[in-house]
Parts: sequence; C-alpha cells; structure tokens
Amino acid sequence: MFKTVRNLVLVAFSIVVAPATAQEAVRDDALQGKQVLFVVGQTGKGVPNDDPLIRDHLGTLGAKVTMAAATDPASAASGKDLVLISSTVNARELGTRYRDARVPVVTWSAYSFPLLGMTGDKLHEDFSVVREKPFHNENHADYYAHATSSTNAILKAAKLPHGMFAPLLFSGGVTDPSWGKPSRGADIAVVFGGELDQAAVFSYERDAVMIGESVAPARRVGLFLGHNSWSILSDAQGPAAKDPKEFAWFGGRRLFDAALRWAVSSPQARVTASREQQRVALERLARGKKVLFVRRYDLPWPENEASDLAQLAWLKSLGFEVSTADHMEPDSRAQGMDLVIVSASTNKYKLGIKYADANLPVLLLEAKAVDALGMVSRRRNVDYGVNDHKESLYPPENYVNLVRSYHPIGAGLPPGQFKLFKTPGVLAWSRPPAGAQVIATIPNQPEHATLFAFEKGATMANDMVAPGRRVLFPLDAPRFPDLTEDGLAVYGAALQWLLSRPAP
Amino acid sequence: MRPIHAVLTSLVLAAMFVPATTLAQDYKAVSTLQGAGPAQALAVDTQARRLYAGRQGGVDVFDIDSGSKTGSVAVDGNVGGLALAPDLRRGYATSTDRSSVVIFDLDALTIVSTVPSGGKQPRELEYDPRAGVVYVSNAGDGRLAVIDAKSGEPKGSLALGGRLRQASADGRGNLFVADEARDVLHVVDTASLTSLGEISVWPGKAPTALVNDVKERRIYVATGNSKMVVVDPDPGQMLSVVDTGGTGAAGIAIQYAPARLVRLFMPNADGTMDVVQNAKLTATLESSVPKAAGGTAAAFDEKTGHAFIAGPNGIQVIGK
Repeated sequence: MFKTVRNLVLVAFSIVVAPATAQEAVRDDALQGKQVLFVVGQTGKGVPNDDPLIRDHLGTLGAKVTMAAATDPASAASGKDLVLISSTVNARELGTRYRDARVPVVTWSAYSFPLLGMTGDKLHEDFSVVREKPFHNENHADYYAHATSSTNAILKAAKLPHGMFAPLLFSGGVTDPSWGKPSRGADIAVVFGGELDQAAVFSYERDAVMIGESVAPARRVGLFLGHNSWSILSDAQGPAAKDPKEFAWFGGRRLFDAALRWAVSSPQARVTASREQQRVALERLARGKKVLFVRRYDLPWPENEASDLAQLAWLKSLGFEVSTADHMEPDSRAQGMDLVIVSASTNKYKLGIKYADANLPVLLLEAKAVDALGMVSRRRNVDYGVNDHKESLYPPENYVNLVRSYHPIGAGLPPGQFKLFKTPGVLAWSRPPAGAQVIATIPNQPEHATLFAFEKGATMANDMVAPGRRVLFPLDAPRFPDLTEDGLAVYGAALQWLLSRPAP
Repeated sequence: MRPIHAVLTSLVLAAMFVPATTLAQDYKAVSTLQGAGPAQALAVDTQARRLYAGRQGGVDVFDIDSGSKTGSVAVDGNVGGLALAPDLRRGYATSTDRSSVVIFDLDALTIVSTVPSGGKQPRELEYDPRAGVVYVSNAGDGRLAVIDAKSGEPKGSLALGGRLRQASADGRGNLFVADEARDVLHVVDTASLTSLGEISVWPGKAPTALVNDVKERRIYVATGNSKMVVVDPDPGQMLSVVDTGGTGAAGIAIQYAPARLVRLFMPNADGTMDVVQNAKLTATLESSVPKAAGGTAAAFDEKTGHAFIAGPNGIQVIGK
C-alpha cells in the first residue's frame, strides 16, 4: 500500500516536473514595468554618445530606467530587474562590480567582458573593440553579421532567421563595434566574419559555466555596440518591414530589444527531481516508444558486444520497445521509430551518412561519425578528435565539466566537473558550431565539447539544419558498464530530452 | 586692478559656458520683404526669381532679388499650403477653411479653377511632375487626395488617418506623408494609391514638415519636440537625431551645398530658426537664430543662398 502511494506520488511529481525544465518563450512585452539600472559614463568631446537615446528607447518599451555611474556601488542593482552597462563606462573604474550580481546583466562594454567573467582578458584574442582607422576592413565587415541558428532564444525572440544579415546601417557612418569569445557554456546568437570566436551577441543562462570555473549568477548578455552604434542599428519599417528578406536583413534593433527581453525573462530551471523521480519519469516516457538501436552485429571484441547487450537490456528495462539494426542495413529501418540510437560499436566507414537526414531524434554514441551526421565539421583532430586514442595528445579521461547544468540533459547535477565514467579512458571531443547546446566539455580543454545537443531546426555544421533533435553522448563502444550512477542518469536524461517535444 | 581682473575672469568664464551653437551663430535676418504681412506658406521659383507667400485671403508674389511685392492672387479663405508647377505654369494653394484647392496661372496671376480638396482642412501640397498630379494633405480628416495638375480633376484619395502634413514624392513611385498626430511618416505607393506602411519618427514627436534628399536617400523631418530626425527611407528607420534650439518646428527648407553637404532651415513656433547641417553622414546643429520672423514656413533660394522665413510678423530673409 505504502509502495503504491509512493509510486503514485513519484508519477505525479514527474508529470509536474517535466514541463518546468522547458525553455519559456520570451514575451514581446517582457520589459514592461521592469526596473533597469543603466550604468553609463562620458564620451570625449565630439564623440557621439547614444546612451540618452537608449534610455529613452527603454522607456518606450515600458522599462523604468535609473541611471548610474561606474563608481556607484554595486548595491545600486538591488531591487532591479536588469543591469545595463554601456560602452561609455570606464571599465577600469567599474571593475568587477556587478560580476556577482544575482540580477541579469547586459553589457556592451567589451573591456568589462573579462571583468564580469564572460570572456578571457586578452585584447583582440578574447575580446576586441574594433577601431575604425587601424581596423578599417574589419570595421566594414562588421556591418554584416551571421545569425547562428534560428533556434537560439534571442534570435527567436528577435524573429531573426539563421544566416547573414546587417545589424548596423552601413550608410549610417562609422562606429566601433566589439566582439567577445565566450566559453562553450554560452549561447552564441550572432558572430562577425563567420567566426565562432568573434561573437557579436552571446549569452549565458543562469548557472552556466563562464570563463574558468565562474558560474553565471543570473543571465548575462554580451553585445557588440560601440558608443554610437545604437542609433545606426538597422530596423526595417514601412515597406521594408513587409518584405520578408528586408525584414530579416535589417534586424539590428530587434536584436537589441530581444537580448534585453531575454535577459529579464525567467531563466531555465535546473532539474530538481530526485534520481528515483527521474527514473519514474523516464519509464513513463518510454512506455510504447520504439527505439532502433543501430550496431555492428557479430563484434569480434567481447567487451564491446557485452556493452551493447547491456545497453539493450537497460533500454528494455525502462520499457522501450527496442529493435536492432546492423550498421550496413538501410536507414529505412528507422521508419515508424521514435528514436534512433547509433552505438559506438558501429563503424563510421560502413555507417556512412545514414540517419543524417532522419526527421526523428537521433542519439549518436559513435563520436567519430559526428561529421557524417552533419553535427560537426569534417577536419579530424581539428573539428573533432578523441582523448586517449592512438596518436592523441590528450590523456585518458573520465571526468567532464558540466557547463550547462540547467539543461534537462544535465539531470540536475550542479555546474562543474563530475565523474561520467568510473575509470579514465577514451573520451571524444568536438568543436560543434554555435547552433549546438554544449552540455559538457572536457576538463582543461574548455573548447572541447564532449556532450552536446541540437534542437530540432538548429543549424548544425555546414549550415545543415537538424531534421530532428540530435545528441552526441561520448559513450565509446565498451564503456556502457563503466558509466557512473551520474553518468547513467545523464544518459537517461538525454533519452528523455530527445523524446520530449521540441521547444516551440 | 583687482576688480578689472575679476571682470575679465567673469567674462572668460561666461564665454566658456555660452552654448557652442550661439558662438557659431552666423546666420541672421539680412532683410525683410517689403509689404509682406503674416504668411503661413512659402514657395520659391528660383528660375523666375519669385517667392510666393500664402496668407489669409490670398497669395502674394515677391521679386526675390529686389525684395518687393510684384503681385497677388486673391483666395477665398486662409492659405495653408502652396505648390508650384513651373513646367505647367500653374500654382496651387489650399484654402484651409474652405476645404478647397485654388489653381492659379503663374504668369497672369489669375485663378484658373477652384476644386474640392478631397477632405477637411487641407494644408500642404506636393506637386509630382512625373505623375502630373498634386497631392493634398487634408489635416482635418487624414485623407490624402490626388488631383490632376492640369485639369484639377480628382484622381483618387486615400484615408490614412491622423493629421496629415507635408508630403514628398521621391520620383520612384513613393510618397512620404508626415502625420503630426501619430508621429509617423506614411509611405504611399503612388501608382496604386495604397499605403505601404509607416515609418516611426521616434524620438521626434508631431512631425510637420519634411524634405527628401532622394540622391542621398535621406528624409529630414522637422518635429514639434525640438528634434530633427534623419530617416533612411530604404529600411525605413530613424538614422540620427539632432536636438534643435527652438520648439515647434513648422517648416523645413533644404540647401544642397557642394561636397554632399546639405543644410536644413527650420523655423520654429517660438520665433527661432535652426540650421542643421549634414556633412557626409553626421547631422549637427550648425546655428540657432534667436529672432527670426516667425514660425510658419520656410523656403530656400539656391541662387542667393538665402532662406525665407514666414511668420505672423512678415517674411524675413536669412543669410550670413
């Protein structure tokens, strides 16, 4: 009797908890009534300053703006919904104020990026302010930018599709935009020059791991504006607003507004359910779901065979209806399935590009096939590689760094390192494009993602659009039995996310 | 010695705090047109060396070079807007309180016909030589009307709403109409006479007058809250804003100077006049003339480089 009641409670909890982890849509009126602290400075004589215009613009969006100087105490942020830091502030004077503020911070003071923990601190490497004269070409290039993926929350709020667009009006005169190189815990919405390392708009969700081990205490956004950039942010109105391509091209001001609206919206909550509750939720989701497990039949390595069989048994124990397919069978086998799992026992050469265009969720465990499935570009040991594999310079590893703990795949684990496998061994890494949601990197290799996901519709490598949700889980062929309890929970969370409804 | 030192110090300090625009002030009223009374609409025919001034009860004609009045056309009502069609030798004047448009002969200065304005309280007029039509901004009911420039026959109208003021055709089939009540520019497709959308003039409010620099793709908008807004008509957005010295801008006239420089002359309701220059890409306030005639209309003569400012006290000639 007690057990039945307990199970009912668990089921009820799992029903309630699951939707809470979903990303909420950003409302158009998100800034209405919000208290905004706008930290500004002075510009030199004759240097334009758009701060007053921005202040007035925020007023039109319904925000209540309080102005502050760089030297004001950080307590000025108390009771505010948002802190804005302009490029006009003296970053040296501002220092690390607001770094620990548990209030969203949006800044276009590039020199403050490192002081806020959002980028490294090397000028022109980790962040840059493009100066018109010595960087004439770069400056002109920055009139054109690239929206990384239509699934990015800020781009979605701005109604900006993936692709090239003009954030600034070229005919508006010179400006001094900036860029930053955030950690893989960031979401990069816009880049200059097609470079992931030159992010024009990037954001950190609350609890995201930023540079080093610092964790975002609230949402953070880095923007590319200079002192006079705001007034020449592009904005389609009149006839241009009715032409879909003009509307997409002239999206600078919408992007600015969307970044602020996203910043003040509710952050994504980390999973709070217990392991038991997560297991119950997964079993509930698995019921009636058909999974195709693609593997290599007749493996000559007993430990790999044992690992595959253990996985199959575990999947069945959860309640999935599991079928298997050899890697040489056609991918038409996926028809009628709810999920495809590609085991690392497959051979990339024989798997080929099968399942790349499958319009259903795919869990890829064979990390070497990330390029074949369009998730990462194609250069071996540049775009992707493996720790502890033949010629690899990287040692065996069993820990990963959870940079996106708030993601449902994080299974509620706290940000930072956790033990994925019981023993050090092979661990794959990738440099996925900005459309990826990097959940974990490899310790001491901050640019090496090892566990990452793509939302359905996200832009993957070489502009391929994900036809369904995709996850790369770095489970080398023999390592299923080597997963820790946390590792198995994350694996389960990956299955749960893949089978959940994609974000609207 | 000490008092003199103190005075000098005071003068130096005072000079430091005088606004830069005042120090740079070099525009002034160089003369007043003889025989000009209160006027609220101006139009220049540079080739014919004539200035037309609309007033209560008629249109006065002045010789630009001599500054003397050379004729007039009697109009029943209060003239609120003027347009000239030198190629047709026709002039057009709105009678605001009669809701009509008077078409007159530029040479004989006689009325050819009087036609309905197509709406209420007609104000500014815009002649489009390519289309051969005159657009009438009816401020009272927000209706844009089109009349044939030769015959005066109505050729259609469009209910835009708001309080329509000055319009400007870009020669590409678009007409931009200031809406004083809604703080926007309406964009109208002149071929189909349909609305293509609106362009906000924020942070300006109550736009009354505009000029369209078609080659540079800039629309300069005079607004009622001491701001001149520069709009790029292609994406349709505010590009920059200049805080002006006066309040209640009532007109705007443009000077095309060498090296892509333009100057905008804007009379204000408070009796001041602002001059904004746009050199290359950054518009700035060049001068604010404290005591101009008035605050109702402006026109510019390219030959002399003089602006004409109309108001309740007559018409003044502004120059350096």
